[in-house]
Amino acid sequence: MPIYNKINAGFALGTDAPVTSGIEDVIYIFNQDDITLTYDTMNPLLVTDLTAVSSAKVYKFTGTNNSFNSTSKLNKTQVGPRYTEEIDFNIAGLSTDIKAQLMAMGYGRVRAIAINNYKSGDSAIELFGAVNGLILTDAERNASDETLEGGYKVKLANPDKIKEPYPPRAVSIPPESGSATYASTLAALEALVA
Amino acid sequence: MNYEPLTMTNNMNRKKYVLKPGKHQFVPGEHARHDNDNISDGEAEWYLMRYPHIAKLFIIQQKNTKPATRMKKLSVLRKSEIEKSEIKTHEDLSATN
Repeated sequence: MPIYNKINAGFALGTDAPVTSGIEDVIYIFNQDDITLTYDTMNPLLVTDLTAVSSAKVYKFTGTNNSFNSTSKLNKTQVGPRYTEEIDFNIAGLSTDIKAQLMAMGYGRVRAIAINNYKSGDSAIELFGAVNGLILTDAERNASDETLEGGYKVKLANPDKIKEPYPPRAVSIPPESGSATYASTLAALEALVA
Repeated sequence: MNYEPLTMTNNMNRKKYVLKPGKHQFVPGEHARHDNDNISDGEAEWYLMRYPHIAKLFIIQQKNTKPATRMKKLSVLRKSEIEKSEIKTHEDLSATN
């Protein structure tokens, strides 16, 4: 285990896999109490498995035109670094089903998984709200808004006065035999989708 | 007194319940603290009874499968060796004739 306050590696800029921005237009959301997480023994930043409690599911929200975004930001505190996380997405629809889901996200805590466009590292798929969950902080519908054409603009963020102790965790789930890849992680995630 | 080294195979042979690699949460929100090194069979049974969903986190133990397969392979190998040696003997005999 590396010493927590000593760096032990540098970074060399390469041209093999230049970093790219953005996330895919899909967000996987699940209730905080529905899925248990397994972490890598040596690396708490790496989630190696998701296990559903009884028949709990993960719910998929899809969009288009690079309209989803994830943000994580370090906050310096008197007891060390903490992180704030935000997921911005939209729901291009209007129904009581959508309203009910948004109400539920406003009351209960959820976790969200985003898929980065940059897939060369082990952090292509990231989990937000791993410890304290996320709560709906914005759900705005402007009926005459031209950008969203009357859809919902939604933001998930940390609950009030709570931050995450770690940056967003990378999700990297190995298949039954072999090592974890982007494909095996995505397959494991899709298997949990309702 | 001789102690067996604690290898993964030894560990798997001794324990009835073996957790998959990693630090596991048994309940969502819990600090991920359970791994195969810190859980006894008794504890595993207790948790499994109360939280049945964690069954997926354990490796299913099939103790007799591996040795049986090995034995089978060995017997097949021996048989083929015997057959080969018979052929060889036969060939040798024909050569002498």
